[in-house]
Amino acid sequence: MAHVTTEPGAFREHYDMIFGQPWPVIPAALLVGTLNVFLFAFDRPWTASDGFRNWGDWLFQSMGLLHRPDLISPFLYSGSILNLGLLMGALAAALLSREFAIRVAPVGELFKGGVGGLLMGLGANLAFGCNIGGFFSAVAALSMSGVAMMLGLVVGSYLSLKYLLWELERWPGFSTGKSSTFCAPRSSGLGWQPVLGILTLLLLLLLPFLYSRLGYARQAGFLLFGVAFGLVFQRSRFCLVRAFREPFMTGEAEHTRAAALALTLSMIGFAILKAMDLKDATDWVFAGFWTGGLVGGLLFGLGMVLAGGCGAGSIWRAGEGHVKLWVAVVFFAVGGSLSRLILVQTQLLQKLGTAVFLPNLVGWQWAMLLVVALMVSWYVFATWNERSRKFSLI
Amino acid sequence: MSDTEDRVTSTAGDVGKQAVDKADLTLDCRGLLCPMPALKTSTAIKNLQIGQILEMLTTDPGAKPDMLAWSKRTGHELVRMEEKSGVLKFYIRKTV
Repeated sequence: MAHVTTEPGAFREHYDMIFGQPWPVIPAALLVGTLNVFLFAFDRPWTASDGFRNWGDWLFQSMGLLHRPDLISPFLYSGSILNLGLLMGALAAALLSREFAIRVAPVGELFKGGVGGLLMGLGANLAFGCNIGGFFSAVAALSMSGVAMMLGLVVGSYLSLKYLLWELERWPGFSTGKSSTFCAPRSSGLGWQPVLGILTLLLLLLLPFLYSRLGYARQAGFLLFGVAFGLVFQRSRFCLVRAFREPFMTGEAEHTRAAALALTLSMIGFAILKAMDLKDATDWVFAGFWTGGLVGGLLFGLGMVLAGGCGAGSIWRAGEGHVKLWVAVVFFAVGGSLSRLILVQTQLLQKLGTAVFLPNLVGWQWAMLLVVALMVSWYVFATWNERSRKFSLI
Repeated sequence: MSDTEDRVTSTAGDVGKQAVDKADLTLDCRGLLCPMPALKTSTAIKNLQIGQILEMLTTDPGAKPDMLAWSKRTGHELVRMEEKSGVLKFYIRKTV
């Protein structure tokens, strides 16, 4: 700034580097892939959907509509703590980088957030996880259910984008209307946001101590993992919705490449943990191949493009202040809880497919090579399409 | 940059830093998020003549990388980007 005559201090320079500009996407994605391996080594792979379901169950229970004596409190359940950490970590990152504001979308958009959330809640139950747990972590765990979900996600994102374009053409009023923004940062100076961001971050570093003091050391770990994911996602805006949607939109392939690389890295880490018997070989291999994975992926793909955020993306963007995603988060939780209840009651949960652990089928070498080949094909397809825009709808 | 001036978003080279006289069409995407601003821009720019300028307003921080990618891939020129009180303004010249 011109009015500052002295050189910026070392701290200010470093602050601007971390919170003044976006982090590069590919290194951030590799960090996410690495953190996922750490999380699996610590306890279990990353997913957002079981945390959502826990919130929904808890909501129904507190309304007296559900009686589950075994229900774990959202403040103690691992999946829920990961999600809360993600939300609060993203909030802290958004405040520190002066990108927080409460942004209220027009009514039609809020409606789409709700429908998207419901579809994601249903899809995540059919596929045994959201796009993180059911696809990213599942493929990394060498489960065929994850591969089926990937296929469903591709088709679902394509169809959902087609719908959005149809809506804009036939029904342009739906996404226009009154919108408002609150608590936006001032144009100049640092303002109050970074101060609040530092306080939030301090609180997030204090909470794990409180957890372990109360005898919940494991929960403290989950919270820190969640916060780390929140910081990385908000600062880099790495996004799996973009990885699936963008090849059909502008053709931009950076997030697709980032996702393919991150998944390959996670897969190698997971394979080491499993092959060295540090983890059970069949961990995170669910009976969703192929009906549950494919149909769940399709519904989830439709929902995530409609809502503008996936399992993780809805949460960290909610932390950044997008009200549309607050709606999506609530409906994801409600939809996830309800559809699980229905799947259990109708005994459909056992009919979604089989659990196929790829190394049991073709051996470790071929299993790993097949996943690498799948990721390389995704990477190459997106990069080729980036120039040719053969699959672009706009 | 003085205290009262708008924040002009820094990008590589000259992208998004040129001066703009006036826009031929304004598109309000405030409150919307990914992918709506980019999709609406794609639809709106069809109503312009080559050389005309579209002004797009949004409040989504994700629109910054989105619109850079959009302009790179569609070929329309991103003439100027600025930011004021949480509102991002993009000026795009139709080129194709």
